[in-house]
Amino acid sequence: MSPVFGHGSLRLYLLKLLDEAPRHGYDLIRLLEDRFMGTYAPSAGTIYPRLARLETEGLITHSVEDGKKIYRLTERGRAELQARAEELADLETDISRSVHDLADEVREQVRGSLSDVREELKHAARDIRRQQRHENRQRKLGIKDELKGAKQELREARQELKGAWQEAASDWKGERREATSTPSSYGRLEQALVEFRQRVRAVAGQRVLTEEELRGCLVALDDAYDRVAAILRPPAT
Amino acid sequence: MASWTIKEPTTLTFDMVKKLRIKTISGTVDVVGADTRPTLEVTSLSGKDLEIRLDDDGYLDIGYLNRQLRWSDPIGWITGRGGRTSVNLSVAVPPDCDIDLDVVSVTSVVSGIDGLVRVNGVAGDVTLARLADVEAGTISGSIEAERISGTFAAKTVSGSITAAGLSGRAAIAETVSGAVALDVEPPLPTMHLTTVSGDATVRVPHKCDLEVRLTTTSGQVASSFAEIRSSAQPGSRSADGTIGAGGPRLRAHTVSGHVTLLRRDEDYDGPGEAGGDDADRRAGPVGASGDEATQ
Repeated sequence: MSPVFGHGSLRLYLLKLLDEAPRHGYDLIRLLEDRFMGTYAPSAGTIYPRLARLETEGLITHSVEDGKKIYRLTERGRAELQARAEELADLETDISRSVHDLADEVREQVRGSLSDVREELKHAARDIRRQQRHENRQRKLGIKDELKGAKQELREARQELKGAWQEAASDWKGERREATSTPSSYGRLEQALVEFRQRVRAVAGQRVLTEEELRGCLVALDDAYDRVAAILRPPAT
Repeated sequence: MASWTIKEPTTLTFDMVKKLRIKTISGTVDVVGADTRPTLEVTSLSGKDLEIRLDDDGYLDIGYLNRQLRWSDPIGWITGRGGRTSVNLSVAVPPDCDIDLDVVSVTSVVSGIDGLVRVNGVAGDVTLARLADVEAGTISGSIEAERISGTFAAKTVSGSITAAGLSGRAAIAETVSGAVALDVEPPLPTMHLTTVSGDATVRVPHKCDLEVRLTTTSGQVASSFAEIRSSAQPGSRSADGTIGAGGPRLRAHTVSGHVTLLRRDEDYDGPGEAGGDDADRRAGPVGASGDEATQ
């Protein structure tokens, strides 16, 4: 025996209930409960996806009143209902159903809606798991990147420090080199004086100078001194 | 005490039934709670005669009661040795009845019962709808339930367990290789899910109070709640946390299956949460005033 509420008949029945009046999802559940003589009513988790599907197909639409969704039939829904008028008549005349038919309806109904729920949960769970795996991977990558970044920074800092050291070291070396090979002006003057003394001594030799020679040398030294002093002494104003 | 022996499809009515016990081997069994006169419909029958006994206390027994089925040849019942014993029967009983089904490869439906329902099967699928307290077990059959408002206890070996519109005191689901998927509504039951290789998935309302602990040995643990923190040690992964104010507990454990806790969309305006048109509206202000009170 084919179930009265088999494929598509619940959908037809929902359209019929919405044709009678715009209704809230909860009213629909109540009316379906009556239809099942109180033995069964779809749970909210299964009726709303069905309504959403009808809405996607353009057969019904909803408006929000007092924060609740009120569903109503669209023209397209009405057309479908008219096209299936015969089926609907069968559905309505079928009042004195047997226990068997009723149970079959319940079975069809529960099976259908639970397989929807099962699929929905399965997909949602898979999405969440995938998302979580992705996040974990991102986090790991993030940590890796951070680590990489830190390492790079460390390397750069080290390089910088090394550079600074090298600079400092070369500066210092440079100064030392300057100090030995290219002496300061004072040092050169000092050296020139020393050399001057040596050269004078070399000319004078070991012999005893005459009075005349000595006087001449002293005058020449005084002269030299006056000339050097004239260069080094700031001009007197 | 009254008794009947059924040899061909028929319909019987009874005066009073308080408890129903059915033992069959193959075929279908439908039990529906209705405020009509208790009715038994036998729509088809083959093999052994079906025996029915109704005692004075309103205990209705349906099945192969005496002598007919010897435990010496249980395989013969199923394989149909000596004529296949099969029956399709449907029973309408008052909703406050207690129901007890012991079946083998029978597809069964139980709906609209407020009393205690117990279904013990082997291979057939079990469909449960609109019940208060139910205890169902199968080996390979699946268990599907919609709108259970008291205690839901389901056990299978390889069959899947799926339930929607689950609320009330407790929900227990145990399986070896089957998958468990529960869609729960307020008032949230205390939930306990255990599987070996099957996935365990629970979906709860967007706003709810729940204390959660999910564990697995080698599967993956995931949840759509930020409150749930996951952690991992060698040989075990878990996620713990308290959603809202806590309260009902959710425990789920698998060995290799994945454990997932899902959150229903916010715009979902199910009557399960509302319990009526204005309950939802009531929920807003109540929540708000509650916040004020705590400040």
